[in-house]
Amino acid sequence: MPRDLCRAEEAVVFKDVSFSYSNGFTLMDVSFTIRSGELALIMGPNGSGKTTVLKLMAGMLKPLSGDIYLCGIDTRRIKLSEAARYVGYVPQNPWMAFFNNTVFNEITYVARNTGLSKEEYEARALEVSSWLNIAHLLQRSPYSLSEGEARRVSIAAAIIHDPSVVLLDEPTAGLDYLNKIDYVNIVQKLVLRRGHTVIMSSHDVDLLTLFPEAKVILLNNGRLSFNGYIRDLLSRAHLLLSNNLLLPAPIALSTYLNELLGVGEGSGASVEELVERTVLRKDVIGELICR
Amino acid sequence: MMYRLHPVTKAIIALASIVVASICPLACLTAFLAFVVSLSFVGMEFTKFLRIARSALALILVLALFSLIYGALSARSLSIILEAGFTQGVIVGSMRLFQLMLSFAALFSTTRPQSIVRMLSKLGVPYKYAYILVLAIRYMSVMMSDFQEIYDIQAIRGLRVDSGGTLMRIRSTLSLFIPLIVASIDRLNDMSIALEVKGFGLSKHRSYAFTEKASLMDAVVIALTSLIVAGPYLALNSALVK
Ligand SMILES: Nc1ncnc2c1ncn2[C@@H]1O[C@H](COP(=O)(O)OP(=O)(O)O)[C@@H](O)[C@H]1O
Ligand SMILES: [Mg+2]
Repeated sequence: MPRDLCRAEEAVVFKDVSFSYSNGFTLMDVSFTIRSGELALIMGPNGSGKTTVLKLMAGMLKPLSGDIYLCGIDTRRIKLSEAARYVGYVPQNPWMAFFNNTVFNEITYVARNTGLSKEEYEARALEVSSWLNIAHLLQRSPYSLSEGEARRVSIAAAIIHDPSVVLLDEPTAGLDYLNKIDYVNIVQKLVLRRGHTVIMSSHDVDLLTLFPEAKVILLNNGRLSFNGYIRDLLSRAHLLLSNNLLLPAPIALSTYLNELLGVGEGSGASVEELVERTVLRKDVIGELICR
Repeated sequence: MMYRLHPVTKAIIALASIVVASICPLACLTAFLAFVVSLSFVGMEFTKFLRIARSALALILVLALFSLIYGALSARSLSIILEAGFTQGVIVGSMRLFQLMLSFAALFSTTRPQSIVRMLSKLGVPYKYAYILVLAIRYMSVMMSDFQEIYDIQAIRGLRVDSGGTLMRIRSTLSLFIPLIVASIDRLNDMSIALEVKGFGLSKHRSYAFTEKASLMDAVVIALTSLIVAGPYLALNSALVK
C-alpha cells in the first residue's frame, strides 16, 4: 500500500470543473470521480484537453470554477510542494524534468524533497529500479539514456516516495506494440501489487483493449463525452468514431474480417456484437490475429 | 483593426515610441501614451490587450520599485521618495517604458512574422538576419511557456524555490534551467532542420505569398503619430518665429 496519508475513498473528484487558457481553449463543466486503487484512462484526440485535466488533478493548474479534490483535499488549498507527497507525475517528455548528474539522484529527488530518510530512499531506489529494470543505469547520466530507458527512469522518479496517485501523460506515445505490452505490465503491477491509483492520458485506443477493466474518461474539445467503464464504451464503439478516435486495432481487424472475408464466429454481426464477442475475450483476439 | 494596419505603419508607431521614450516632453509623452493605449485597446482582442498590458505593468512595477529603493539607498534616506521631483521622475519613466513596450508588443503580436521580415528586407537587412531576429522574438513566448511547465513539473516533485540554504537554492535554480536549456536545444534543432529542408538561405532573394496594401486608415494613423511626436517642436518653432 502507498505510504502517504491518502485515506479518501475517491482518489480524484472533479465537480463541474471549468478552466480556460488565455488563447481561448476551454474545458467546460467536467465532472467525474476516480476511486482509490483504480486504473483510469483519459482518452481523446490531440488537443482535447487531456494534459490539462492531468495538470488540474495534480494542482499545477487551478480550476476557474468548480472543485477538484485530490485524496479528499481541495487542490486550491494545497501547495504543489505538499501535493508532491500524494502525487507522482510522469510528464510526456521526460527531459522536461531531468537535471541531476546521475539516474540515482534523479529518481531519489522527490523522496529527498518529501522527507524520506537516507536509508529509506536508498532501499526504495533499489526496489523500484529493479522492478523497472533500470538498476544497471543508476550511476549513468540521465542524458545518456535511450527514449525507453528515460521513460522508465521517469516513472521510477515519480513513484519512489510511494504516492497514492500516479499520473502518466501519454506514456505509450511512440512505442511499438511490444513495448506497449511491456508498459501495460508495469502499470498493472503498479495497480495490482502496490495499490496505487494510476491515471494515464492517451490518444492510443489500443490501450482500451489492453486494460479491459479500466475506467475511461473520454474528452473531445474540452468537453466530457463519456465517463464510465471500457465495457460500456466498447459496446458503443460509435462513440469513439464520433469523438475523432479510431477503433482499437483488434476491433477494427475483426470488423474487417467479418465484413469482407466473412470469417469469425459472428459473420454478419454488427460492430457492437463483435466487440462483445471478441475484444472482451483475449483468446478470441489471439485466434483472429493468428489466422 | 491592428491586424489590418500595414506593418510599416505599426513599425512607424514602434519607432515613434522610441523617439517619445527618449526625448519627448511630458505633454507629448502623455498624448502618445493615450494614443497607443486607445489604438491597441480598440484594435486588439480584449484578452490579448489585457495580457500584454498586465505583463508590461508587472515588469515596470518591479523596475519602479527597484529605482525607488535604489534611490533611497543611494541618498541614504527614505525621505527622497517623498520628494516630488524624484517620485515624479519614476512615474514619468514608467510611462515612457510602458508606451514603448505596448507599441512593440502591438507590432509583434498583430503582425505575421513574414510581414516583419519583408519590411526589414526592404530596409536592406538580409532576410536571413531579419528572420533570425523575428524567430528569436517569437521564441521568447515558447520559452516562457516551457519554463512554466518545467516549474510546475519540478514543483510537483517537491521543489521549493523559496527555502533552504544557498546550496539548495543553486540546486533549485539548476532544476529549472537545465531542463529549459535541454528543451530549447531540442526545439532549436528541430527548427533548424525544418528551415533547412525548406531551403532556407539557399537564395539571396525571397518571394512572398502575401503582400499588404496600405489603406486610408494607415494614412490617418501615421498622420496622428507624426502630429503627436512632432507637435511640440512645431509649437516651439512657431513660437520662435514670432
Ligand atoms: N500553456 C498553455 N497555454 C495556452 N494554451 C494551452 C497551453 N497548454 C495547452 N494549451 C491549449 O489547450 C488545448 C488542450 O491542450 P492539452 O490539454 O495539452 O491537450 P491534449 O493533451 O489532449 O493534447 C490545446 O488547444 C492547446 O493549444
Ligand atoms: Mg497532451
